[in-house]
Amino acid sequence: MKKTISSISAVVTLVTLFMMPTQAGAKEMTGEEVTFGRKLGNCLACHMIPGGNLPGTIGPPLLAMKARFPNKADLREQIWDASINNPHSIMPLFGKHQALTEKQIDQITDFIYSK
Amino acid sequence: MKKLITTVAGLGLLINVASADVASDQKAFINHFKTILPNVEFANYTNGVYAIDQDSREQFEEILDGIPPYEEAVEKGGKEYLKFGLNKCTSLKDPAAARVKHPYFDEATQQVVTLESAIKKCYQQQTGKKLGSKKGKIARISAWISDQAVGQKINVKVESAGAKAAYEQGKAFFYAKRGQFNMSCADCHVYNAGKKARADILSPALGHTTHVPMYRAKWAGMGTLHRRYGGCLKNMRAKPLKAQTEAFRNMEFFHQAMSNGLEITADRYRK
Ligand code: HEC
Ligand code: HEC
Repeated sequence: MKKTISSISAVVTLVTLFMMPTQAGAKEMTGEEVTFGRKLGNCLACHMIPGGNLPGTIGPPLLAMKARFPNKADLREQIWDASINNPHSIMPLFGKHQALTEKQIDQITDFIYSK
Repeated sequence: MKKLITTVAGLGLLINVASADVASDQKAFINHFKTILPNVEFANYTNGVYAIDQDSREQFEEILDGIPPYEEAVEKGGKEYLKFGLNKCTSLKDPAAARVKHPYFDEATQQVVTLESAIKKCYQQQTGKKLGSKKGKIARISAWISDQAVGQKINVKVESAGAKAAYEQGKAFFYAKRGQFNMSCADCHVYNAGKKARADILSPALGHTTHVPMYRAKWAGMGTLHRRYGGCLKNMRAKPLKAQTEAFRNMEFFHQAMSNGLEITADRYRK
């Protein structure tokens, strides 16, 4: 278990390092780019999202998000840690496992909320 | 560890594979696929995504009707089998029997022996050299050996206590969430089989081991089952493991057992 923990943190460190350039360049990245980018949100792998090509069908379409999530913080939480609503979810734990930065999650939340 | 056990138990409840008994595990497995993919015949699971999607199926058949891109490699594997004296090892001297016998649990070493691990061992005995585990020679030779058993059925036996323990470990690995994305093999190849991840249809785990080693267009060549395991682990952003390590051999033991009764096929093309 200890070994797993250290290797997870090694991976996280590596991923964080790897993401530095994207973070630095994030100023120019739009919410749409962060949401659709295959190495970033890659949300289209599983969700239909208006404006995105070749969506997967694993998750529900992301439409009418304001009606689905009257409280925007709940939407952010779903993206940050999908296991809260479904402990078996296939959806990556983008925030909890640091697959994306907090800023990127904010950008994605805003973008999805506008759909 | 506790977390892993709860996850596995939780998923076990979902499709009822909590029992250690292979036959009942497989029954639950097959029933699950019958429910989510009602139009796929049992025998057709050997064809992976091509059993599900008609358009992809047509492309697949066109490739098989021409000269499949792996044909030459498999033939070469047959020559290599003789050239390196693999017919001299007891484990491989009857190639058809060797494909059907593996993977099995070896009581003497208390380890799962896969076909590729047997090939590696024999190759080293005969030539004094090491053989890789993922592509090239090992994939060609293993594919040729498997071709000799075409039409016979996968029949993995899990009998002793040691074998059951290895099988259970393999099953736990398959169902456990792992990596930065927190996914399990079952997330894609059991619960979401038939759905699309972007443009890729997810194949059902049932039938996954009937056509291995496989040729993949993306690889522009052949690869073993464990090469594919490594690729999927990477996509899950999980810790990579070497081909033929114990965790992979145990997973293969479970994975192949879930395809018991399906025919071994030489149609080894995948996108
Ligand atoms: C590997 C598959 C996968 C990926 C990648 C994925 N999701 Fe999901 N998502 C799901 C599934 C499946 C659900 C359904 C609920 C569940 O099982 O957790 C879901 C549910 C959701 C929901 C709740 C929808 C509702 O109406 O309740 C939102 C919002 C969401 N995802 C947003 C995102 C965003 C944004 C991204 C990318 C940053 C993303 N998802 C990436 C699979 C995925
Ligand atoms: C995020 C989704 C995902 C996860 C998780 C995943 N895979 Fe895959 N896998 C795929 C895709 C996509 C393909 C290519 C299309 C297909 O054949 O399913 C594939 C293909 C395969 C194949 C080849 C299938 C064939 O018919 O030749 C095998 C075997 C396989 N995966 C095993 C595994 C194992 C074992 C794990 C866990 C260690 C795993 N996969 C985890 C998405 C996934």
